[in-house]
Amino acid sequence: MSAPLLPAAATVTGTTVFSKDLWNNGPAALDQWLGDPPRAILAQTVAQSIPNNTDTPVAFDQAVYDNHDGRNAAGTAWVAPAAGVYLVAATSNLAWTGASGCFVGNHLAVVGKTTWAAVELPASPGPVRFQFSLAALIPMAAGDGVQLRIYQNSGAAQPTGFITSACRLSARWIAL
Amino acid sequence: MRRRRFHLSIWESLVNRLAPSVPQLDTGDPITAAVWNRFVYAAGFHLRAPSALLYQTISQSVASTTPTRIVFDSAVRDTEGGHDPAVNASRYTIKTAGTYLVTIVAAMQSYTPPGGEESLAIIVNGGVFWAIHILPRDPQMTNTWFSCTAEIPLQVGDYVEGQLWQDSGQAQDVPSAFSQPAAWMGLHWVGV
Repeated sequence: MSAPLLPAAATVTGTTVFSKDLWNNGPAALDQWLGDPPRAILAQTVAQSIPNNTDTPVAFDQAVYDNHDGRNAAGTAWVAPAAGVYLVAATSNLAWTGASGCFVGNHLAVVGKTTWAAVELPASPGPVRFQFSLAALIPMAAGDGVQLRIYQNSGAAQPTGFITSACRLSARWIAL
Repeated sequence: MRRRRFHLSIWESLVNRLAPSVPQLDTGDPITAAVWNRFVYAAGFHLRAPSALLYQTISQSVASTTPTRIVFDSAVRDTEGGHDPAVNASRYTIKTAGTYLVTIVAAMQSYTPPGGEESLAIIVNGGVFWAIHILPRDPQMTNTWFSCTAEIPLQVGDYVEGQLWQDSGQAQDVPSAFSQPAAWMGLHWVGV
């Protein structure tokens, strides 16, 4: 799928005759873009092992929708098809059997660039699972990939879980 | 033929707005008043999309190990009338189908003993969790503040709620003694 281009309505002069192209590339294209910009909701349906002491990208095996096929082959990143500011939100799910004195973190990060949102909490006293909700406005170039990453340092691997809600990630272009 | 008939009654425009759809034209198609008005409608819709911001001014008790819906008794705005403070005040009911950005912020008092969990969630139609934030329950904090955000595809009639949960063994309040409301829920239509 080719990269989408933000509509750019042409400026007209006093004698310009309105044509279908002016209309289709202007008002019609702009409305289409505003109602359905590059966007995705990804979900995880298969448990994933999060190793000890490694900030690990969540692998999303399912796309609730992904109108420009931005999910990469491994499901570990959603790749922006067009430049812009994206609203990115995520919910995580990590089963927990670790001891006290550890901590758990979630990060929304652009691969090779910046971490834009983070939650890091001591796992003491520890619940049976951790679920965090985090969101950020993230400027991305076309081709940038955004990830939800989970970190834990329990000393052993911990699995992602599915009680109440599995891990989810949404991304939506909202502005240049 | 990509054009579609568009009839928007005054009633529909006020009570149950339709997501806009500006048609593409074929060669020779005139820009009629109907086509132009669809663009005008779309511009107005995008600038003032369905939106609500609800909040709570009255303290609410959250019983132990009982999922408790947050009651919103007030609204800063509610463009579509999706919230009724007198009937099912915890709900925002969708009037215009689409994808919504939903955010919830809430506070809950923390009590001993330590351990266990407390959580805030965004729930659709009484049971589908779209976002949840679980924290280890720690009575060293007087109040725990949570927030959740999710982008949710919703149909007309779907309803969105916030849910608090805790397992301290006693009721915990959503306090009303702050200088600001202790619970908010915002919804905004962001696309089809």
